[in-house]
Amino acid sequence: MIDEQKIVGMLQAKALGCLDPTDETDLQNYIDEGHVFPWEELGQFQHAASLLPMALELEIPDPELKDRVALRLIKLSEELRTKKMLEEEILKAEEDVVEFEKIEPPYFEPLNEIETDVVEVQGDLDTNINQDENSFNLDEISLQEFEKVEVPYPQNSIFSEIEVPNENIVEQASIEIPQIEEIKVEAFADAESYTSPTENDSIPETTVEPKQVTEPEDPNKQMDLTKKSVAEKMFKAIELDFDLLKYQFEESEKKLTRGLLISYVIIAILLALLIFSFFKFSSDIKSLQNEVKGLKKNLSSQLFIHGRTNYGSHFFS
Amino acid sequence: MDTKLTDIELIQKISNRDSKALEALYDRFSPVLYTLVKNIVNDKSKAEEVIAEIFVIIWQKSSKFDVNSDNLYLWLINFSRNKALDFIRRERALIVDDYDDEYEDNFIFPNLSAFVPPNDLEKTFNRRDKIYNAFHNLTEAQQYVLSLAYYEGLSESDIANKLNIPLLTVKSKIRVALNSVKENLDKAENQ
Repeated sequence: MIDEQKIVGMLQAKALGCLDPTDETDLQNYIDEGHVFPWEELGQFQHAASLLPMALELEIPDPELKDRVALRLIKLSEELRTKKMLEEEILKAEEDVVEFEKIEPPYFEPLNEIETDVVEVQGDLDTNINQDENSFNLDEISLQEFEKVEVPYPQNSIFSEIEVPNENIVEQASIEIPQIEEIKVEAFADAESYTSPTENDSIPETTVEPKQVTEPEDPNKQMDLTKKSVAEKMFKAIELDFDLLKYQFEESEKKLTRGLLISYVIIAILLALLIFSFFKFSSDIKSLQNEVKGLKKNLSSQLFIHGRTNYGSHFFS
Repeated sequence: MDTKLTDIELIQKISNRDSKALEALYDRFSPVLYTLVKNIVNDKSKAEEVIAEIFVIIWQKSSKFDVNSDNLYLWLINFSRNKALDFIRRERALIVDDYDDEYEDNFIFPNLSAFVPPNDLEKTFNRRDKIYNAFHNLTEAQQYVLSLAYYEGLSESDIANKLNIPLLTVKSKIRVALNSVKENLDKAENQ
C-alpha cells in the first residue's frame, strides 16, 4: 500500500503534469481505493502552476489570427450544417423505405376463380363443337360464359399505382413483385431493416390500404444524394464565401458607379448654368453697350446743339 | 459585446452559441494563451495553428468546462498547455494514437481538482508583478526544472535523464520549486 506522505509529495508533480507513469498509476489507484485524497492541496498547486505563464513576457498574436479563427468557425458551421442536412435527407429517405416496406402485396385469391370459370367454359365448348365434321371451327365456339368472366383485380392495388400492367400480373400466375426490386436503389443500400421479398413469401390475406401507398421518389435523385460527399459540400461552402465576396465587390462597384453618375449630373448642371450665365451676361453686356452708345449719341448731339447755340455769342461777344 | 462580463458569463454565453462572446473571450485570453503556446511549440506559425484549434474546440465543447469551479483561467491554461504539448508530441511522433473525441476528453481536457480557488484573468493580470517575482525568486536550477516540466512537458524521469541527475533530486527540486512559488505568492498577497 502506498504511503500517504508519498501521495502528498506527488501533488506538485501532478499539478505540473510531470508525474512518471508509474507514479500516476499509484496515485490513481490510491484515489480509486477510496482513501482520503488531499484534493484541496492539489487544487492549490494546480492554481499556482497555472500562474507560471504570467511570469513570461506577454506577446500579442497577429491580428490576422482572429480572422483565421473566425473563418475556421464559419467553415466548420457550414460543414456541420451540410452534414446535418445530409443526415436529415438520408433519414427521410430511410423513413420512406420503411413506409414502403409496410405496403403489403395485393390479394390475388380470385385467380382460383378464374380456373373454375375456365373449366365451366371448357364444358360449354365440348357441347358446342360438332365433332362429326372433324374440323375445328373457332367461329362456332360460343364462349359466352367465358366472356362474362372478369379478372377480379383489386382496383386500389398498389401495383396499379406503381404502373405495373395488369395483363402481366394475370398472365404470370406467380407474382414476383418486381416493384420491390425497383426500390432497391443505392441510396437505400444501407437500410439494414430492408429485406427483399422472395417468391416463397406468403402473401398476407389482407387488403391493401391505399392511404399507405406512397409514390417512390425519383431513384436518380436519391442516387445523387449519396454521391454528394462532404468535400463537395465544403467546396460549396467555399463557393458561397466567394459569392459573398463577389456580391460585396459588386455592391461597392455599384456604389462607385452611382457616385460617378451623380457627379456627372452635377457637372452637367454646372456646365448648363455656366453656358446660360455666359449668354445672359453677353446679352446684358450687349444691351449695356447699346445703351452706352445711345447715351453717347445723345450727349454728342446735345453738345453740338449747345455749341452751335453759343457759337455766335462767343465770336460776336 | 459587454467587456465587463466575467469569464464565467462569457463561457456560458459561448455555450449558448453566442459568437460575440467567443470573440470577447479571444480578445481577452489570446495574449496569455498565445504566449504560453508559443513557449511550448517555439514557432510562431505553429503557435497560431494551435491557438486556432483551441478556439474552435472551445466553440464546440465549451460545455466541458465546469461552471461551478469558477476558474476559467485555470481551465483554459491547462487545456491550452495540453493541446500544445500534444501538438509537438505528435509532430515528433511521440504520440500515434488517433485524435478523436475520446482522446480529447481523456488527455486534452484538463483533469482538475474540484477545490481550485476561484480566479479570473483580470485578477491574475493585476497580480502579474507578484507572480513574476515569485517565479524569479527561485534558484536558476529550480526555474529550469520547472520550465522543463511545464513548458517542455517532460516527466520527472525525462528531466533526470536529460540533466543526468538522480530521479529523487528532480522530484525534490520540483516539489520545493512549486512550494516556493506558492509560498512567495501567499507572502506577496499578505503584504
